[in-house]
Amino acid sequence: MIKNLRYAFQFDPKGMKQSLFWEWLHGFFLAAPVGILLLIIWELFEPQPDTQKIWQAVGFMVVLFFGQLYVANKAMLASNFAPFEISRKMRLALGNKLQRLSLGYYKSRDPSDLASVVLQDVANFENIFSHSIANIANAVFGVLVLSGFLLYLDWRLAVTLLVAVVLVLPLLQLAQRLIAKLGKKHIAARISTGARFLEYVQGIQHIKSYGMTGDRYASLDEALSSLRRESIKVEAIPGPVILVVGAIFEVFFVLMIWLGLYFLAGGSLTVPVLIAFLIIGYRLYDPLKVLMVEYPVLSYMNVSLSRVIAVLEAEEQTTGQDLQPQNHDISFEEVHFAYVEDRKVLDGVHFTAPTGTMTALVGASGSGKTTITALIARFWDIQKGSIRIGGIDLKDMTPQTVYSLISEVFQEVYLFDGSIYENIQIGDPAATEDQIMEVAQQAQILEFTNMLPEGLQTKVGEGGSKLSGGQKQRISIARALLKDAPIILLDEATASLDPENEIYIQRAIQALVKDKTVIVIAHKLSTIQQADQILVLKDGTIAERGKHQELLNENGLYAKLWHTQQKARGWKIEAVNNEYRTANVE
Amino acid sequence: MQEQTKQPKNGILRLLEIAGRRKYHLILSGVLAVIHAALALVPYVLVYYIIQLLVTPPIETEQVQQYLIWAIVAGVGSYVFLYASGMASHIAAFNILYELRKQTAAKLGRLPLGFIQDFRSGALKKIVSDDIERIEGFLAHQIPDFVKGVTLPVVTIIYLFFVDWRLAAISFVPLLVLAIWMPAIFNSTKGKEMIRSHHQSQEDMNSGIVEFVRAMPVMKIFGQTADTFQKYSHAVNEFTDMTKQWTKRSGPPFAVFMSFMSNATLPILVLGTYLYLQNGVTFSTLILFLILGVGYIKPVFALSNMGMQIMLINRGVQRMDAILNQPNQEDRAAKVPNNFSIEFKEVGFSYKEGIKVLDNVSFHLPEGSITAFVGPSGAGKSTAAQLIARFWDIQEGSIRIGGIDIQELSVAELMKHVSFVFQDSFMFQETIYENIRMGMERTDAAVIAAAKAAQCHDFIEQLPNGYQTRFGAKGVYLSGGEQQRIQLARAILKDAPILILDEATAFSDPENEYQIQQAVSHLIQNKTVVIIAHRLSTITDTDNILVFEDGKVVEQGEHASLLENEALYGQMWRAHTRAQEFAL
Repeated sequence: MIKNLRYAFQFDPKGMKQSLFWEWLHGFFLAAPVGILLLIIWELFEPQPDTQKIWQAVGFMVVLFFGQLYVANKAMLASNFAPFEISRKMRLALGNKLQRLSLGYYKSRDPSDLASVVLQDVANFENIFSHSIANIANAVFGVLVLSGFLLYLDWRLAVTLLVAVVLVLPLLQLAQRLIAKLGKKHIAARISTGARFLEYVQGIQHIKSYGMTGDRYASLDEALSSLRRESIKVEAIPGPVILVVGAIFEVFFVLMIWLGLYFLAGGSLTVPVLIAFLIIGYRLYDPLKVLMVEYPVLSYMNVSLSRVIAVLEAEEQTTGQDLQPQNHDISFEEVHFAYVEDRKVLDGVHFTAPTGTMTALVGASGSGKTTITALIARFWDIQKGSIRIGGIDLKDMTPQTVYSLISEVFQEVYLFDGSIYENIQIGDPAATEDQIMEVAQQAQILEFTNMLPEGLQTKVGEGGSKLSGGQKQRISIARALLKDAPIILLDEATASLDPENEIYIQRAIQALVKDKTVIVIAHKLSTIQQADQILVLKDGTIAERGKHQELLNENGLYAKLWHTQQKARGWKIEAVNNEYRTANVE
Repeated sequence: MQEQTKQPKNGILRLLEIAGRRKYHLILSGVLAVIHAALALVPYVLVYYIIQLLVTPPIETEQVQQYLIWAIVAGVGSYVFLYASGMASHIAAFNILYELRKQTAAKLGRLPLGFIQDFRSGALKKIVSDDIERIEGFLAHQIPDFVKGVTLPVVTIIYLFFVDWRLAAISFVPLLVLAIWMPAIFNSTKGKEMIRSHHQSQEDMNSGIVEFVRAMPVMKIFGQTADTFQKYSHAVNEFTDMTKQWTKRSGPPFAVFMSFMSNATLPILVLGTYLYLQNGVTFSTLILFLILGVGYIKPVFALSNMGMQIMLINRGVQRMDAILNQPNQEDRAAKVPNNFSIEFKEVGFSYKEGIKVLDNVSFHLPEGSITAFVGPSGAGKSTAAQLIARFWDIQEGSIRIGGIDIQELSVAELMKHVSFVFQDSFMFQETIYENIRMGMERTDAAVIAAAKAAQCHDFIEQLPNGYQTRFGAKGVYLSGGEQQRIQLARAILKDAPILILDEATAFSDPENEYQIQQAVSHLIQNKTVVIIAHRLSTITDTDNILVFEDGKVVEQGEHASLLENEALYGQMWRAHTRAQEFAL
């Protein structure tokens, strides 16, 4: 935790120093009235109290009161501003980092989880830290000053009190370990309840249509019960340890008084000193109690902080140079690749896709088709072999250069909350209105925007929620048309995602792939009969390659796939057994 | 019925109503908290007595030791009661949260689907996870804290008044000054405005961050990360500035509070010293007041913060109540149909007032017939199909199954007779077996037979634990087509006489389509079938085709006769056949 906090502090060392300075100064103002109080009590205890001295002390206390008005405000602002400033700089650093991470990183992480690092985890740090910093600074300051003072008054009694502190430390550690362990389980139970509930809500139409709602949806109930159990445990189990801690404090405080009486009787202690211990001795334990409360909260904060640091320290792709290839031949040479060690996804893939040709990737799901397209865009770096565009190894190019050569049309489309026009414009911010109108036309967007009152200026809603799948798809194609990159990576399934609009999407795709180097992931084999080469993948290797007719003649995997699909093609909805139905209809 | 006539409560009354579910636990917790507070005072009082003994020599050591033993007992006792009080309130709280969550989930199950679809699922999750969790603060902390916060000062003050009324009276001064001053600082209109703009800048930053992260892959591909970063950093900076401004405002009241707290003894000190020098009070009384006279201020101010927290909790409760207070779908009677024809009579329906999704739709589907609903998206075909299963209640006309109005069937009864195969195949994080069985009472043999009919059996057997493999477990992967077939197996197992099928299902996955088609052919046997059709070539042989446009049925008949009409269906058919020839 200390390491993580140090990491965080470096975002605003000046602010942290200021905060500590003011907090400690404020700590003096917190402790001073007690000291003055003791002075007055001692004076009063004298056989002949010096009243002038007493009123002077009171007057000093009034001055302190006004001084504290100023210092407390300063301290409060300083110890809030430092965390604010740290979290601001942390968010900006995260923003910078996110720009440099590989696309593969984005693929392998849930985007809402990543957003919650920037949002929630930083906020957790800020809230907890801004709240705790004052308490902790004061607690540490309080323990030091108070024990110094008490040791000075009477070291024997002070040591007695401090023994309790030493005894309590391992217990506190035990309590913290318990809290951490139970807290982990508790968080797990909360997450699982959330997941169960999401499942319940998202699947509610399925659940309803099988009459599984409410009590009968047992797994949600199980998660809820386990959350209840874990929540109670978190409260119940560390409690007794804390109880023992409290008891030890009580016992040692009383023991101290006992000893005091003994010393008093022996003459080695005066009554005023004992009274001082009676009044302020117990305060020695207050800062520890504060730390006891703050520690679990801090360790919760630490979890968030670790998540932030993990992103900030995530590995970046080694950037190469901005080399522009002369042509756009794509070549794979003995490419080996695994997302996780020992689970090879590509195992020695070798092929060349010449400039301006179309290469189709065919194979069962999991055979490596998508991985090949992702590797061309340098989402990930390969472990063995090489991938080249126009003869230049991808590793020698900056990721930005690689991206500038490529457009992708995949099933998922990201639209941001703006107009259709703005969403197309991403393809090339410098594009003129005429150019945008032209690609909108080519991508068959005008076909539906002409019917909208605001046309291309229509807002798409959060994530494009106001548009159908096919419409979003066409916007993504328009972007790609505007970008006009020489290489197109395409998932053929996008052409039939939205059956009612498929003719429009098909036209848009045809406009896009014209004269480009195309790599297409194919599902429906009828669409790629004209491909210049077809690669049939099986378990991460190329099992067959050639043109459509050649592969059919080979009578292997491709031919088998083709025949099954042909069989499916003519299918009509019809009951297998017709007699019953006809009998009833007539 | 009585539930509905009662006026729903809100605010603190509603919170107390919720607390009433575990009344006795919480009362017990309060009583224990009071005992804790009283015991916590005892050591201080004993210190007073000890000092009294110390300053009047000769010191009676035995008496002092007696007091010390009591102090230990009271001190340890107060911790025990604190723990017991906390446990009582937490057990009550977590049980109540459990019940509320369960109740909310059950309620969602009884509401029309439309209600749920109006929410984002994340928003509903937030209500159940976070908003309900917040109630714990009220039940487990605020109730005992309130009891403590009230009884501790009251007991202290009464005791102090008995000891010396003059000092007791003056010990109120800081409390009074703060009580008048603090709310005045906090509740200015400018402050409220600031809270609003702070929330606004927070929301702006939140949505800015989410968009920045989500858009990043696209922006990288198009080489435009710099622009988005500028927008992002602007939102972040704006928020920090707002937060700082807001904090600046709360600095002074904080400073006032802190300064009063650490110097709260001042009035007692002045008056006490004066009285002591005049021989008006004893030394030990003065000490007692200096120790106890200011100790109750902090808990009282803990109470002042409570209002704000309750407001926050309350907002969550209101969101929860918005769900719990929704009217259920009413069942007007509990009839049972004996045949399964479907009839729409002048049905009018809208999700939101003013925008009609279905307008005066009438048709009749005989038992055992196969009917296709076609039309452009938004024409109302999916809605019409979902209305058959009462996913929503209609505003005009009637829908009948076997001649009985579906509002006279209970939802549970209706669900027994209708199977749905949706476009999205939802899989639960359960075993494959449970994913097919879906809580229905069926034998293992029946489950396996359904899986075989839906062409699932073979791939299920390939999974690490066969039917007992947990979906979502590590290394368990089912393709979209395989998930669709599981969904078909569910419907085959249910074997309801009415089947509503989204035809997109049959084509979602070209690699599996042949098997899916086999499963569908099996499923639609001997049923009244409604197909929401997207690909016209698959439905040319159905008994009847209803063509929807703008919420109305505009054409009706068999494929051949519709083609002769040369109207909407004819156009759709031509577009479809052209699309079939697509090649890259």
